[in-house]
Amino acid sequence: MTNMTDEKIIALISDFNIAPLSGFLKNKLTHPEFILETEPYGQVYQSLVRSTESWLDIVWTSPERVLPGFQKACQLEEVAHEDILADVDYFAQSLISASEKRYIFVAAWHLPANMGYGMLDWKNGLGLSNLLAKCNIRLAEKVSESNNIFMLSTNIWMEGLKNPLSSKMWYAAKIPYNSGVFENAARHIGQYIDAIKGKSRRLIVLDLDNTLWGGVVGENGWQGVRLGGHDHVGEGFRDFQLALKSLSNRGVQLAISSKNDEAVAMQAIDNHPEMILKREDFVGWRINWNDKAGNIADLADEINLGLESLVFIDDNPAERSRVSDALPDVLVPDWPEDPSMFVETLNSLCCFENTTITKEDRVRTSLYISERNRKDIKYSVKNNDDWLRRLNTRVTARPVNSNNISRVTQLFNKTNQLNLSTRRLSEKEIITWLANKARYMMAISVTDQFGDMGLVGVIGVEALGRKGRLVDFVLSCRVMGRQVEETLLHLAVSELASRGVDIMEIVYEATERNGPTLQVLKNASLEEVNPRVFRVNCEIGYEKPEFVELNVLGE
Amino acid sequence: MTSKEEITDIIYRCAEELNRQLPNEGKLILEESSAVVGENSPLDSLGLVMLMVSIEEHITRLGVSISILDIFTGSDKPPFLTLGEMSEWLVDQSG
Repeated sequence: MTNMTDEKIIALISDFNIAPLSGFLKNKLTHPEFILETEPYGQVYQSLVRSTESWLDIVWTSPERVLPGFQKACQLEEVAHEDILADVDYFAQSLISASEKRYIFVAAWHLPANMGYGMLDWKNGLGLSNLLAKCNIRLAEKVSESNNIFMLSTNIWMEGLKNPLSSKMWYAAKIPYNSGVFENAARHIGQYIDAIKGKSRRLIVLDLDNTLWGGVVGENGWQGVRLGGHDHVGEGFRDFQLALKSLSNRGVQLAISSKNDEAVAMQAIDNHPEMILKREDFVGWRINWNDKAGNIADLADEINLGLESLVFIDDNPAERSRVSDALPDVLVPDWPEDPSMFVETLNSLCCFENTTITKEDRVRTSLYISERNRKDIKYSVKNNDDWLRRLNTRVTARPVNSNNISRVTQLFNKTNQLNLSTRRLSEKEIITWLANKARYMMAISVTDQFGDMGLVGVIGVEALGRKGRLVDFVLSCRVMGRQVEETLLHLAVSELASRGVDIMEIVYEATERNGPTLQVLKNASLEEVNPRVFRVNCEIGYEKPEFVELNVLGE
Repeated sequence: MTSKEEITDIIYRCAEELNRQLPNEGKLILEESSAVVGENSPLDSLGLVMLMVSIEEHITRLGVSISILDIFTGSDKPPFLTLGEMSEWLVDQSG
């Protein structure tokens, strides 16, 4: 993480031979920015305090080798659980210290093949299963102190495998698991890395007939579709909707693309008593007889998401093939015909990871629905000024601090379009950057008459004597085009002026996606030094937009 | 006696499984003539051990008990060099 260049070193640290994970990960993380290194086998604590830099450490240990007392417990010697928990605390502290410089993935401990105390194995203070659960919970509690540490569930890497453990492989090569476990681990870890890099999928576009319910609503009416009830097929569809609703609660948005009559389909959504997903759970829909690829591209545009953030789920292989061919960035998974397999297939996608769950994630769908209402007003009023006035936009700027840094980090890593430099920063990197007193960063929240849009922007400035720089200008595209952009410029200029700066420079660093930022700068009446560099005279200042109410809060 | 087809199928499945964790340039080509031992083999010693243990585990499930690794490491001259020879050797051993 201290490595600010494109190169990202991923170190594997283990007390067993972790070569298979390294192999699978190398084949998974094919981008040249990733360099995998395996630390010397069995030197877990030494590796955690090593001086070499890495972006991520993957730490996968066995409790009986990394916790001295656990080995005795495995031999069923009498041991005080509290003593072993002290070993856990020491291990956790080593991870926390290491996480100041890098991300850490630490695998939850798994019980080695051991009979333990049989039917007494969960007895408090005695059993191995009881002890292991305590160790994992203690480790989770301790490492939760650091937002750079992610404790990973190893049980999901072993689920569904006939023989996850391999004694033969252990004795021959000190590899405790069969290759399927490492293959699953690499698949999940790859997704977690994508999540840190802000590459998770954020919108699921769903078909309706035989996807959200059984049967064709246009033929059977909403009363005739199979959903819930005392029906094994209907229950499969209902559970699938429950799984989608859970994803929605952690920030993944849902939309519909269906070849149907909209009124008929909406009747089913509004009236069927077993529908889990309601109209308000969808950020948008295209229910018509048009080409689905066009509809999906249109939805992505409306919701302001890149196609690489989308997943399309449809029972019809022809529709899947069409969308997959036309929109190759959209993830179009093979989908089973049998609804009892839907939840399992959805879970196997593992592409919806979040590094944090913020307040904004939990209410994301309602935020987009408010946005739709705003647009409706826009089209009904006479001119743009009227619309801006009626929105009654209120912007609040607060210093970046421990209360908002999770969301700020998320914005740094997920925002593409309105992002001046697109520098991707972790929490620790933000804190390190702010340690220099010449720098300042503000978190921007926006509300209007339709609701609270939450924390949607960040600006970072740096004063270099009489000259200053707008380093970060990051704004969710949800608030684009309502003078929040100009309000951010006003805030940046005012902050630098208060620090004795005469000129604020803005250097636009182009990426494939941040063209809208350049457009904002070009429209903002700034002095254009060259096509990438803009300037503002801080003595003159930059006016706050007329229709925005601004509230600047201190520490 | 286990048939050559069964043994060959197990060898190829294990090799495929191993290939998924090997770099493109180091993958085993699934042909009888592909070297698994010696300087022409793309496998390093760990790769070879993993392949042999994996095959041994699968063969054990057929009710055949052969300690491939033990015999291999205990012999002066490797009992096989290629996938095809390995298959034939295992058929002989299983008898």
